[in-house]
Amino acid sequence: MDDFTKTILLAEDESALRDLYKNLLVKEGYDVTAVDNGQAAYDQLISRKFDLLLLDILMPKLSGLDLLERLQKEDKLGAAVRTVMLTNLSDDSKIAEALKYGIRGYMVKSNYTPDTFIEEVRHYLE
Amino acid sequence: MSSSQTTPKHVVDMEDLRKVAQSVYARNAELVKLDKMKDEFVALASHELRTPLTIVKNYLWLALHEKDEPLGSNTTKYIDIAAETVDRLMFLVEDILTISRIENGRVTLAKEDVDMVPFVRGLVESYQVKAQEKQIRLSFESSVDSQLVTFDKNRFTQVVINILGNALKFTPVGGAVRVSVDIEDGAICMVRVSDTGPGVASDKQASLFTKFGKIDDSYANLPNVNGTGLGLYISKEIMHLHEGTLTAESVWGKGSTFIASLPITK
Repeated sequence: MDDFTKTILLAEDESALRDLYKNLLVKEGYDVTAVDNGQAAYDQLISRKFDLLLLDILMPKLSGLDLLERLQKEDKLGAAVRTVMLTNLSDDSKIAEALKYGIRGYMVKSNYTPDTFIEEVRHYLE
Repeated sequence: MSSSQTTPKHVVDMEDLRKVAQSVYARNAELVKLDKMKDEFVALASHELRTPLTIVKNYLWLALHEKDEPLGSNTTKYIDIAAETVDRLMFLVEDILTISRIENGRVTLAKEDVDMVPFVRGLVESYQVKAQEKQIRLSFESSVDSQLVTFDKNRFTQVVINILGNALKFTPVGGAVRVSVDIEDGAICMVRVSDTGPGVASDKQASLFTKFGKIDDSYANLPNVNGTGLGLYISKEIMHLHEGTLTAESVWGKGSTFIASLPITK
């Protein structure tokens, strides 16, 4: 890994999707740290800087939204500008709530196949 | 118009009118609440359906685009994951349909007199292999030799399998699951399933029996724990249809006991 390798924190509780996304991103040459809950994502976020945070909304221990709220309370919301929410929720209000924290964007997981997923991540990293 | 013709006079009892209005408002509030609950259920159900569909869609895409030889190890792995996820989808759809039938009053119980003791013992025996695979001590005991209870065998089996299956799922390797039949005051037959799993914190116990009310923290660190999140809700509703109850007693870190109670009709 060199200084130009982009780092991604992936927080996704569904193991089949976490493995899928991690493998796809690693294959693309990204340095990926994958966690399965919001608390672990928080621990990672406060210990190092990532170029992109892919954050699932519904997760155990600390949801994606709760994580953003906590970062805001602790005045660490700087990480949010590099956050893209991952969701399969049909409830737009949750996405709207996340966007209020100034996140970069969101991806509805069911809309993507591996090729379009990677394309979208690349776009967010530009 | 002659003076003898008078306009019919409707005497309105204001008290009656007030009562009618009150009942209409109450019914309306109830319908609004039900409508909201239905919306929430549809939102949750769609999320729970989309997730496995996303998995199937992506892994089939990978299988179709795999460059190594046809049906090589990668392709087989992708198809396996997709196939397992389709099973999960089927369970979920079945559970959602069961809930819809229960909530619309379309479940008719086929009740019969059954001796609860051998009935539960038989169910426990059918789970011994699964328990042994996980090195869990699964035991059965009863405070009576025999007790006739009236219930729908298929539906009640669903309840026992649900709580017994959960106990085996959440109990770590080397733990114990105990099933018992007890009679309370000669009027209630109780089937208890106790485990040495992680237990459920008291503030999370209320959500155990709600739709998609999985208790995240309890299973977050356990491998391979999957479920639709609807089983306990369905089981509770089945027990209510039998005029019985399904309750839980649990202490975080010290295991759980689920109790399915049925009235004994004499």
